[in-house]
Amino acid sequence: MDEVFDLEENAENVLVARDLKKTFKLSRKQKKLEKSVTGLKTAVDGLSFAARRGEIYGLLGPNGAGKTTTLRMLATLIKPDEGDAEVNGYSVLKEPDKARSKLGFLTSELKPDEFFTPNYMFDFFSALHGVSEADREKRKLDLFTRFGIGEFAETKIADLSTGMKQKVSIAISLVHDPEFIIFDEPTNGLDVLTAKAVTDFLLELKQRGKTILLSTHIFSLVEKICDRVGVIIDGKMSLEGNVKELTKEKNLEEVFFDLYAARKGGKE
Amino acid sequence: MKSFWTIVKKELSRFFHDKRLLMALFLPGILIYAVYSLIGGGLIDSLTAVDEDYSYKLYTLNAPAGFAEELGLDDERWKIVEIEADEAEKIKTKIEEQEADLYLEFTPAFEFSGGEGTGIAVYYNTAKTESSAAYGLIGALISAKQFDSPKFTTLPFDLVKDEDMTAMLFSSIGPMLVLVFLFSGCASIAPESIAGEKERGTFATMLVTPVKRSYIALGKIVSLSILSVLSGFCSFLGLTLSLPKLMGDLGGSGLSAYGFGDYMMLLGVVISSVLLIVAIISVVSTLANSVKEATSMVGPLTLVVVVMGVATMFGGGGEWYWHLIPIYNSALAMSDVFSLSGSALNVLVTIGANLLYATGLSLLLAKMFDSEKIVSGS
Repeated sequence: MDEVFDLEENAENVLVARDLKKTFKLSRKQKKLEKSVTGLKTAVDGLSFAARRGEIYGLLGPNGAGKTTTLRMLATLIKPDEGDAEVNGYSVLKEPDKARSKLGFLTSELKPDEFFTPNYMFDFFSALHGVSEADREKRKLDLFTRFGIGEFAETKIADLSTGMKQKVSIAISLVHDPEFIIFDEPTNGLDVLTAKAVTDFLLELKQRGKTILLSTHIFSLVEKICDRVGVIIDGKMSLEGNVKELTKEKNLEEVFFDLYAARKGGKE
Repeated sequence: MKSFWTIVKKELSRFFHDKRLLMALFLPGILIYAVYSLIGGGLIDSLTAVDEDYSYKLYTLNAPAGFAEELGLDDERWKIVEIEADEAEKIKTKIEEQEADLYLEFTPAFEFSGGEGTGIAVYYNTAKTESSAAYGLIGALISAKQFDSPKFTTLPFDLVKDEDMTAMLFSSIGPMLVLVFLFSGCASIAPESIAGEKERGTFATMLVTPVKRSYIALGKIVSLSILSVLSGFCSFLGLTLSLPKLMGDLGGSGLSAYGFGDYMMLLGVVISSVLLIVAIISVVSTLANSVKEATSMVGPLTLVVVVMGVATMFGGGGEWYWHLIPIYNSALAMSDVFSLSGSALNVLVTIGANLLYATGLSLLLAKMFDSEKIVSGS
């Protein structure tokens, strides 16, 4: 186990997002539904934030607020129309390959091929990340033991339980021991035991100095494990701050709904 | 480059360990063998084989004295009957009804040494094996008589009925069948490899690794091409093994009917066609967001392949530039080779054109893999 990381002493930004903007063209049907005149939908509108080394940064927001689009831009799956982001100093626009080598992305949208075994997929993604055989075997042993994957290492992923599949996905997203890890709803659909194992692991990663960006709907999870939180509404950063300070008087859920009502003017 | 091979190895492993996909890969070849053997053994053979003891019923009108000796028909295999002019129509009907084999109508005062206006009208029926074989033999003997210079004219009249012709046409649907089998082989693996990965979310997982997207595209294309060439080779093998049965007695000793050059031409056409087809289906599959969508998009292309394959039956396409039309060129080239009239130039143009189109489409695919709209399906 690595040494416990001191966040206050190492306040270096691992992720910096500057004025990210992303607009999508609406289909004819969407145009009618959204009552849009321009036919364009701004998913992310000038979003800026930073995540420091060794912290868990929570991204909160309702459905359609722009969280997933933001995460996809940071993971270089889509390009921002305006603005840029840096992962460990590498621009997602100018050096996407290098930025990708420094980040891990865990989302329900991205899955390992279920036809293969956890062992094969771990080796496959290690090879794509250029991980040496020695490091690969060490990490595999560490992660597979940590998540109890070992006995299922040669079982087809398709035949594993939902919880075990999620654990395999986490292990695979960390084959290259990234500095910065994006977790999109990591506990969604998991039973309480597996969810606990996942949240414990996030805290363990934090202690090892990893930077985590956590997108979730679960207020209690943010309160429990996040150092700072950013609330996104309509693609804009509506509130950002230290979780402990924000929740001094009200809990996070109340803070969020007060903010949401103020932003929307009582609508919705 | 190491990551490129990692992707190729994973793709190959994916297919070789999946019985369903493996079946889809090699089934076309097995089907070609089975269907062609069935056609060849059950239908074509019955149409083309003539019993060794069979005697051809040959009717003649105005035949010059000693013509049988002259043409070498003076043995027991030929039963020759000289008829009167008023029986001619009756004999023609007999041939049409497949009751007689051949009817030779010589011009009055015909002589083998020739003369102005002399000639032989040859009536036969391709739907009757014996009639067709007799026509072939007579044709060869008459040609031999005129080897030095044409001395008289020979007018062939095929008295085959339309419905009988259908059976004969069956033998000319070969190129279409091969193309459809090849196409279905490729169509069963490419959508799974590209649209299937997009649908299952495993494709984007690769996109968040530091591997360049062009390497991912190249890895997919190369692995699919290896698999499809294997499928194509299997189809080629099925075709080759079924050829002796397809050719029946017409082909003499079967395999020897086609020379090494013919097989090489077929192999070249089949493999280059596979590469083109896999490139086309890969592009279509990349546009789709699911295997179902890809399959429905590929569906109309199957129809195009069938039409292109059938089009060769209506003749035309002898000139080299016809061999630039994708898919149609493959059908044309195969049809030529099957009919033992394959031109090396046309086959080379076909292979060259197919490889060129496949390369162009591969470059397009690499571009598409870089497009966020196509890759994310948004």
